Amino acid sequence: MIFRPSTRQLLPVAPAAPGKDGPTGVTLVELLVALSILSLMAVLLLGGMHLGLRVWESGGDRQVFEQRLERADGFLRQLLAQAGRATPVIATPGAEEISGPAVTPIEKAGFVGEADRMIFVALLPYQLGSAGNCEFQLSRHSNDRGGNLVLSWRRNIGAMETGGPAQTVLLAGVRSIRLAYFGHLTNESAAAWHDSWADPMGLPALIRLDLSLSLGQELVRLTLFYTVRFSNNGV
Amino acid sequence: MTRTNNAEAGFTLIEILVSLVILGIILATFAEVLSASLLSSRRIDSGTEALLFARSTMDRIGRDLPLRAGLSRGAFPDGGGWSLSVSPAVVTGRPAASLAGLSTYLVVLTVNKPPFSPVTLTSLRIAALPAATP
Repeated sequence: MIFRPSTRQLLPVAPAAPGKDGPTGVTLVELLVALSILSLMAVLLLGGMHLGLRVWESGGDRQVFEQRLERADGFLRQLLAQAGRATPVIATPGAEEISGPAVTPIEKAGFVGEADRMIFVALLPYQLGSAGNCEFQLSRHSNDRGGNLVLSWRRNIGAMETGGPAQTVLLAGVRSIRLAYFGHLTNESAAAWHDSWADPMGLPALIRLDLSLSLGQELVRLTLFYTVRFSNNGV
Repeated sequence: MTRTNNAEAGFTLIEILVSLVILGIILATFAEVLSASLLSSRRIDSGTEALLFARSTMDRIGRDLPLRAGLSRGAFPDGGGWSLSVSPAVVTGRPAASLAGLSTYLVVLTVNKPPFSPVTLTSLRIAALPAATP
């Protein structure tokens, strides 16, 4: 009770509210605060938008990548399954066909496999031109974006070669490939994996393809296996 | 001077809250769409991987993987797994014809790579019977 008047006296005197009579407006401090909040929100939104866009784009890239991979795998599987098989034009009719259908084509066709490429004879899929036997080569061509898995082919009717080699890129962004061949060479008794294959009398039964692909910053490793159905390699 | 004239023009707390809620809903929808697209791209990813693995394994059976009746399983390092079941093929309650020392097997391969639903490939394979002891 006694102190009340004195405490009241100690309180600072509130200054007169400015602009009560003048025009109302925003002060500089208010403007700065509003601007900083706005810019903070804009930065956050921009960051979010940027992230979202990147996720969206990478999702699309991935989808394209998966599609290409799946298609390349299907195409190679189909092609290799009938590798070593000859068209009626090439196969000598008669006794050989009865004695063993696989012997004649393989003698003529040949199959050369190395760790980084392979050469084989197969029927050209009709999507790529008129049907016929072609000599195919699967290899990796390096370029500045990693490399391409390239399939090139040359028409090979009898001894005569017609036209220049044609080629198609099966996969892009291929860092490295490695091939291995399963089967037994004519001088072996049991089937095993080989780093290279050069046997004029037989095809490998199974081919392994190790791929390392770059997808953006990511490295994808794949191991794929392909059957050679016309192999006479009894495994 | 009336009360309304006296009040300073500005946003009330309710107005700010409402605008924040609306902004939040918009952002949440955006994030939802993004995460859905991310999930679906991951699904397609694992689906392709499962399919490639299944195709390759089917090609290996009877070549470097022996064709023998039985059940085998395996797991992937990044989740999921596969199971391979090989059983003698049965046609109308009887074993399929075993002709000239050959027998028919039913091969069922299931590859499961979440979040994609399991991929199952089924095939019939012919193999030479194990040499009978005389």
